[in-house]
Amino acid sequence: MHLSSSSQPLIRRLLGYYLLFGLTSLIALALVLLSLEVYWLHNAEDRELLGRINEVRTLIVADHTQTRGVGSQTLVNLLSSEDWVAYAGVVATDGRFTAHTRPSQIGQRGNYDSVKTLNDSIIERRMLGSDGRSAREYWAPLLVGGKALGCLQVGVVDAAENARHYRLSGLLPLAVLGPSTFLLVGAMVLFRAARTSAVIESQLCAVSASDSPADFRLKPLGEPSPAALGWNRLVEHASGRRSISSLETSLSRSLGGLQEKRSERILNALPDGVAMTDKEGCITYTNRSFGILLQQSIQGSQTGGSSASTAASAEQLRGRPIREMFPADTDLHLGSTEELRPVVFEVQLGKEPADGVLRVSRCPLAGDDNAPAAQQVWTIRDVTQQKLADAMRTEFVYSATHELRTPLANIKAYAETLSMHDITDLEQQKSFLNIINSEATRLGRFVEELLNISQLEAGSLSLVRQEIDLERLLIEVADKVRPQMQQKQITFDTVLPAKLPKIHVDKSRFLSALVNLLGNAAKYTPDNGRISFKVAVGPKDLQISVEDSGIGISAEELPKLFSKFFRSSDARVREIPGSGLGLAFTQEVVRLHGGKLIVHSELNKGSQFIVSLPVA
Amino acid sequence: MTAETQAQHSVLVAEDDRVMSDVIRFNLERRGYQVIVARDGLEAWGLLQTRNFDILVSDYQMPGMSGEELCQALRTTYPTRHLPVIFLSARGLELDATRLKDQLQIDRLMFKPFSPRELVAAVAECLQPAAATAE
Repeated sequence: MHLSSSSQPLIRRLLGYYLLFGLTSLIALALVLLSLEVYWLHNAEDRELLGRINEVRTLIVADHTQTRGVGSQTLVNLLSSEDWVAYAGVVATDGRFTAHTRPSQIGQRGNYDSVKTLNDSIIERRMLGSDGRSAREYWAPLLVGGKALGCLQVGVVDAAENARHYRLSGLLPLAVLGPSTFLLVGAMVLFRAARTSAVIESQLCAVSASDSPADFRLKPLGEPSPAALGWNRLVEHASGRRSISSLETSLSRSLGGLQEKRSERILNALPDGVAMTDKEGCITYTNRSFGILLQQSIQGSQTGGSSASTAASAEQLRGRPIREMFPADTDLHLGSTEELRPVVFEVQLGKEPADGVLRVSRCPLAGDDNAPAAQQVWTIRDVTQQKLADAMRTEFVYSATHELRTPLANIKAYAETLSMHDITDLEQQKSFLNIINSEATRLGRFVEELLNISQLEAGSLSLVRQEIDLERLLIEVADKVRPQMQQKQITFDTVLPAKLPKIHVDKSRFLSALVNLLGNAAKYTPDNGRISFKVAVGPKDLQISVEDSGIGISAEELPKLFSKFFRSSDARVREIPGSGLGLAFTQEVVRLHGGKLIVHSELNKGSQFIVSLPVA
Repeated sequence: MTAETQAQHSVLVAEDDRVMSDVIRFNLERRGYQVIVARDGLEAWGLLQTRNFDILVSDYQMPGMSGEELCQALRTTYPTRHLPVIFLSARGLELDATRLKDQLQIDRLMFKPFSPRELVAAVAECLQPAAATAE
């Protein structure tokens, strides 16, 4: 059945089929009714016929009683006027017609069955003629007082009726089957037409009944109808989308996991410590650096001392109050938790800044509705180096101003004194003037140092090399520092090889560098000490060494010795004014010349500084 | 002023730089004051216990006991509580003059480089009331 594949909308098709089969059934029914009417008519006619026959029979019987059948012919002739009567006759008990509408028949033998005519009911007999036409005969027994006289036989005209009768009897099953068939076929067609929609409807009902989209079980339909194809596409699309969305979900989940892992890795790679606390101030998360930075402090609070064991892991720290991580009396500035701005403060881990200084930043974590949540994010940075550098810089500034102002003050004081008073003592005058001179020199040297350092800081120290006589240079260096050494009565000896090579250096800078080394030796060697100035010529390099019997440098401070602004924390060094820049400057000069500055020292014994210059 | 009055005033100078202390001594002695020099705060403190001085002229920055520490000590001890004090400092603007005047009751704060003429004048000014009463 391809009716269902028509492109007409379903509703129209259904109505069409409905009307079609309905009307067909109605027509069939009408036909049935029609045939029934014919049948009904036939029945009605028959009854009339039988009624008439009965009438005539009664008359004939009455006549026979009275006149012994004289008038039977007349009566029989009555029937002949009826057009449905083919013939009529009376048959006596001997089987011969005593009266007949066809006179030829009178006296002839007629069919007569004495047995069948015992009661007075009219018998209908059908006879098939030789010409194929059926004939109907009615036998009405003539009875008088229970005794049979004969029989009235009436032949009925049935030409069309016979055929009709058969047609009727054939029509009857058809009349039933026809509408039924049409209705059945119609039902089938309707069913097929509606089936696609029915399946779709049932699936939609299942969808509405299910709880989650994941349970939608949509099946594609096997029919090639456009509706089914459309449905199948929808199903495909939906399942495709479902699989895509489930793919999306699993992708985003794994990506989220990856991102989480990546965020975790990023946090753990930070040098700053990061932690999170809940509203009670207990740790909910720490990164790796947090444990490392605070290990000293944590252990100190636990054991009462600082043991440098392994850093606390995140699991160990979780749940502990963050207060425990810091030294006991640390102010964590927990007062202002209302605002969303970070609070930054510094925590000293020990008595000295050198013990460790941490910069701590605490910020409340904004909740989803931007209200300050109870959680806090802590960031911890080790600023010890910065603090120490700042301290050194501040100290440098102090000592620089002191170093500048002191000689200036002396110069001014002596100059004004000379001009103010009449100093008649010439020796005194001279001594004052000498003092002015040496203080000016001292000032000049310091200004020079400052200028060098500013160049060092800018990284723009550049050399102007020239070939110079090393011996002359060394003499100049010694001359510059000799007064200081003499003042402290330090023994000074020089060891020079016989032949000194010429060197290719920036004279003024190299001179400053060597003066610095020798000057340091003089500064930091107590009275009556010993300083030696040695030069050794090797195959590849030239070594100029300054050795002293001074206060020496501790092993811990040796690595920091050449740092800018570094000054030893030894009290003996602190007493002596210095910028902390001399060695940094010297090292830089030597380095720029392609050489190396090496130091050997032992605390309280002395130091040796060696300048190693490559020789072409 | 008579020579006796002048000779009565003794000045304690606490200064670690020999060059500076010499020129201060020269100028004050020229003015007629008796000058004793201490090399650091501790030495000055020791001297203050043993004899009377009329005024203290001290460097601010000294090894051992600093000028401030010295001042704090003598302000809490009788009879040096009211001793006039003049500070000399190379520190300059970093020093909080108001705080020093309030907390330590120093009479003058002079910054290096300073004029010796001004220093002598300042010493004379601090000793003035005493001189007036002496006269």
